[in-house]
Formats: sequence, structure tokens, C-alpha cells
Amino acid sequence: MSERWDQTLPIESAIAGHSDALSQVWVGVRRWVAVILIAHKPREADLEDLLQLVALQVCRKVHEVRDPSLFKPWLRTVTINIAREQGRKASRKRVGMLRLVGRTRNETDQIGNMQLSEDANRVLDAALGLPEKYREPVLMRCQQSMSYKQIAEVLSLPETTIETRIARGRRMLRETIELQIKQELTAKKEQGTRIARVGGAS
Amino acid sequence: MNNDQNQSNLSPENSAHLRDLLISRVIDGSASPEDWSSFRILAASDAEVWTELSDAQREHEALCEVMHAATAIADGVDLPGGSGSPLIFESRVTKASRWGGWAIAAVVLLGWFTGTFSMNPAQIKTNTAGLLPTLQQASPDEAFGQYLHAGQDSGQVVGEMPNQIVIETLPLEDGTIEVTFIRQVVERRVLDQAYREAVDEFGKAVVIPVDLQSLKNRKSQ
Repeated sequence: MSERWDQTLPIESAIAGHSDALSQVWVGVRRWVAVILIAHKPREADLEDLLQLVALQVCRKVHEVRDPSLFKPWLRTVTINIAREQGRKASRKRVGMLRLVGRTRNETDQIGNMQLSEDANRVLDAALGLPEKYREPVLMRCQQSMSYKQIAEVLSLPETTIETRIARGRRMLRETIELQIKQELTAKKEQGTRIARVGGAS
Repeated sequence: MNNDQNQSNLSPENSAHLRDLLISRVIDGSASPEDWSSFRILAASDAEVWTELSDAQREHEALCEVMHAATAIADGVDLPGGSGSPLIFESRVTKASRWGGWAIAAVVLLGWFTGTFSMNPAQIKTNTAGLLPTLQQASPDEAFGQYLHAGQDSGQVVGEMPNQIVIETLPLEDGTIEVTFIRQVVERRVLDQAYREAVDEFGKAVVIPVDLQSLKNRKSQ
């Protein structure tokens, strides 16, 4: 099954209670749900746990969506609420408990534990520090399957606004990282000078 | 009016906005021939824009690396209960919450029945002293007692924590209750390498080697 964002997702059938359609819709949207979670969750919250909470909420509440065209904005709101409200409580305890009883989590943990490059970590930190209205579209654009139009649909905004926010967000990201690098270089220089002074004194 | 004139007629705000848009479109691969033409004109008067483009491109790729990892996690999360049986999951949740109240009572019961809650080695020794069966003949409780005893003799076991943690309590059909719980034993080891737990950007636990020398220096300060 294609994992690309698909305009032909059977949203109407899913809302009507067809479980296969709901599964198909979930497969089609879970990647951008992950992106929205990353954009809004506290850093320490477990992404996989939050995804599961969203999946559960989709099962429980999807029948309440009145209009299929409102499904994506609805799902975004559900996702943000879960990221904010449940995020802090997310199951770090559960991870600890599983470790204690000798159970292991599934294979995806390995991917979650993947060591990211220094660049990726630095950029992610900076991206998470962006104002909310820039953060989400900038991160979503990294999903190759999501066009400006599709992002606009999720965020319920005009396409031109999305393009502007992505462009500005990227500039802000650039400026933040540039500033960080400058500050790190200055700190290193100062440290070097201090060491040189101590060395000179002895 | 040509592109060059267009650029010079823009206000500083619009000019900055156009610059951001052009860089962004080039990164996304959506720049039209006109956009490229505007970009070249911009670069002819300000070569710095090439550096900005290259930085923006690198940052975008780094972010995509993170999103790729996130995507891999998302691909492993299906709807609860497998395809199309959310009701099964619902009933599990309800069942778990209904019997959650048993956990508190079970802690007390376990304490009463097992009778091994002690941080005091002497007490364990008293309980297990006398005819110790060999490990193969021993029941799990006897074997556990032997482990505590031997561990305390060797210095590896400090003691067992008095409180046991109940994970799950299930009433069985025959009227009994199945309790799954954790017994916590405090052990002591001497290591030549240690690791500390940290949390990565997805909130996953990761282990990082501890620099023992710096730890020693910090302790001695």
C-alpha cells in the first residue's frame, strides 16, 4: 500500500465505521501525525507511545467527524492535544517497567534510538525552537510526499501562506544556527584563552 | 521592465521576502525558470546568497534525516487491536481499569504471604538456615532465598526492597487471583566501564558511556 499522502483515502467510509477503511486512512496519515507530534510534544515524551494514543483516539472518535473534508484538521487538533496533554505523562515509567521485567519493545525502538548526526541534532533543536506557526510547516515539508497544498489542507491555511511561512521559517532556522555556531566559537576561544593564561601563570 | 529593475524597485522587506522565497523554492526543487533568473540576478549583486542557499540546503537535509527516523517509527504503529477491531482494544482498556483497584490490596497480600521483605541479611539467614536443598531440588522461593543468602555472603547482594510492585492483577475463573509483580533486589557491582541513560529527540532512552576519569575528578572536588 502506498505510504504517500493520498487524496483518495477512504475517509468517508472510515467515518462511517468501516474498519478496513479506517486502517487504510491511518496508514496514509500516520507519518504526518508523527511530524505534528514532534512539533508539539515535550522532548522527553515517547513518540511511539503518543502515536499509539492518537491511533486509539482515532478509533474512538472518528465517527464524530461530521464532514470528511474536516477530517485532517480534526486529526491535527487531536494530535496536538495529545502531544500537549499526554506528552508530559508519557510512559517513561512504562519503558522503565518493561526493562525491569525483562521485556523488550518492538523493533521500532532501534530506529528511535538511531544516532542522528551532529547537524541533525543541532537543526532539530533549532527547528523545535521556532515559533509554532513556522515550526509545523517547516517540519512537514521534510516529508517528501507532502506538497504545499497538502500542508495547507492539514493546517487549514492558504497555500501562499504556507509557502511564506516555510520560507521565513527556514530563514529563522538559518539565523538561529548561525548565532549558535558563533556563540560556540566565542566560548571555545574564551576557554582557549583561559587555558593559555593558566598555562602561562604556572 | 526587466528582472533587474524589478529587484531594485522592491522595498527592503519585500526584497528580503523574495530572497527567502527564492531560496526556499530552490531547496524544494519548485523554482521556475523565472525564479532561477531572479536568483541569478540577486546573486550577481550579492554573492552571499549562495552561502545562504548552501546553508539552507544542508539544514533542510539534516531535518529530513530526523523526519526519516520519525517516519520509520510511525510506520510501526498500527491501529489498536489490528486491522479494524478497535472494540477489542477498548474492552482490554476497560478491563484493565476495572481491576486496577486490586493492585493496592495485592501489595499488602504479597507482603503477608511471601514473608521475605527484608533489607536485613540476618533475617534472611534465619529464614533459610538449616537444611538447604540443592538448587535443583529447591522451589523458586527457596532458590531465591539461596541466591540472596549467597549474594550477601559474597557482597554482591545488598538486600531485597521491602515493597513489591504489582504490575497486573487478574481474577481467574476458579476464583483465585493471578498477580504479576516485581521483587526488587539491591545489588552491588564493581565495573570498569559505566553508562548513563539519556533521552534522544524522540524521547527514547539511549545509553551513553560515562567518562570515569571526569567522574572521579568531580567526586574529589
